[in-house]
Amino acid sequence: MTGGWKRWRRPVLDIGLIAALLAALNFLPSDNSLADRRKQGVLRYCVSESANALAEPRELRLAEGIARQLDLRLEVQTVANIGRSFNPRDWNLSRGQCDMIGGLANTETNRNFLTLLPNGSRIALVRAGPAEAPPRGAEMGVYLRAPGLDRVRLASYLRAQGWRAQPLRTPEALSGWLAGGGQAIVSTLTQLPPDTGTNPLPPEAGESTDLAFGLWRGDVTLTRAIRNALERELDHIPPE
Amino acid sequence: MTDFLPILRGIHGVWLREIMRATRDRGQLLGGVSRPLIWLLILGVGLNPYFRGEVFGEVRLVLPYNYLQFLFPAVIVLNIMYTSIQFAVSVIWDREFGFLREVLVSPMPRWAVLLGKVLGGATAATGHGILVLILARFADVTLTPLEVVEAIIYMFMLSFALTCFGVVLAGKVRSFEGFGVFSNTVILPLYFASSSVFPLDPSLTRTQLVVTYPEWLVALIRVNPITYAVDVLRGILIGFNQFPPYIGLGLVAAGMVVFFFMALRGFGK
Repeated sequence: MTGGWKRWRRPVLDIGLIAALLAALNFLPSDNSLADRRKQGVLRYCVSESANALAEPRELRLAEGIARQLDLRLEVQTVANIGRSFNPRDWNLSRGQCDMIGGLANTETNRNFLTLLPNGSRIALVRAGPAEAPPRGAEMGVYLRAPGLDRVRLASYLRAQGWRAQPLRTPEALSGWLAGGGQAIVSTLTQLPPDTGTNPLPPEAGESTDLAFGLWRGDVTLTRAIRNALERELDHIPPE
Repeated sequence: MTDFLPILRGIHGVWLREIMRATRDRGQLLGGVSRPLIWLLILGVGLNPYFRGEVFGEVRLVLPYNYLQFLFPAVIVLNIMYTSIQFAVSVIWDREFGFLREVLVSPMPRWAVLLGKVLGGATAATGHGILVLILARFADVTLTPLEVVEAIIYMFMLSFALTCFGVVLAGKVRSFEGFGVFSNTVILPLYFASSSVFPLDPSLTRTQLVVTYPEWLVALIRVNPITYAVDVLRGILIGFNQFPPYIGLGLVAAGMVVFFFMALRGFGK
């Protein structure tokens, strides 16, 4: 036994030393993203003007909790551009403006651009208006604004129903459309006029998906810190 | 069965000798550490900002991962490639100093001696792959215990195939110096031409790809077996596959068998 240990002592110590060195290197920061936030003391949280933080209070509470855990002040920025066009590039959301983006659907489209951290809230498409669906040939308002939802799938569904899509670009246009007796496809995050009924849509129109916080891909240390803080927050604020 | 036990003991003896030699060789151990340090800590961290997102809607890295995560499995494969192929130096060493002759005249069959040596080399190479796994947190790669087990099994298969390949190469080279140069001219081109340090956009067709990269490079990457070997490990560690994983698994499994028999043909000649 002693002879066996003597024979292996040096290699075991060498390998142990190397493993300890590598394990210690894990604590080196991979980038400056978290250090920069700490230096500025602010976590900039961007949300769409229409589907804003007030419309999704749970997300806002989580974001506040995350910022508190990181010893940062949460700066909520409502951005009018979000959702204005099909292509998120037109929204001009840059690293310089936001550190974390809220109200994003956890979809492949969004994952292509950002690192997404699902936060336990859900987003789905609904039909706003009376319970009875409009007849074939009727116009159906479409006001999505929530980025990353499958518009191609929705378009196929609208075609299959025989409805003609009428894009609605602003909250005012949506309110006017609904006040005029029209019906519209909206996301569950959309603030609707009081007493407006909502009706679920079948899966063919679009699956219900998680909501996620979006972080800039490549921000390794900030993403890790926010992921850990979010996990702790979810212990207090369980998924819906 | 009673005939087979002495062979198993012989294989174990040769394997143990290789393990002892690998673990006592501090130079080899240092090499196993310095490669991940250079590739992941310096190259990975240095290039990561050039692949990060700047504007929502624009992508520089076409995969839903950051550059460190993308590079991480490739660095493991690089470490395995170096250790496996360089292991063949021990075959030249044994040949030069007569150990091989002594073992080959023993009652042990030639295939069992080779198997013991290759298992020893593959174990050492897998160990070097595991050393890189320790850096998973640095690369922001989260692993479950099952993923770690899958990765280690696959790393061992790859190590076995590459160690056999190294023995085949050693059969063609007669000196230590010659093998050092030869192995570098094999390892580095195979590694660089394998989509290990730059991604091929999986959503693009071949026609679209050749707009981004020259056609000869795309062709080189697609015929390079290391491309598929790295791809399988990416699938296990970060959940991303550029190609169907069965291609890489099939190539590695075929490599284990084909290279072993090729190595056996030249072994001890």
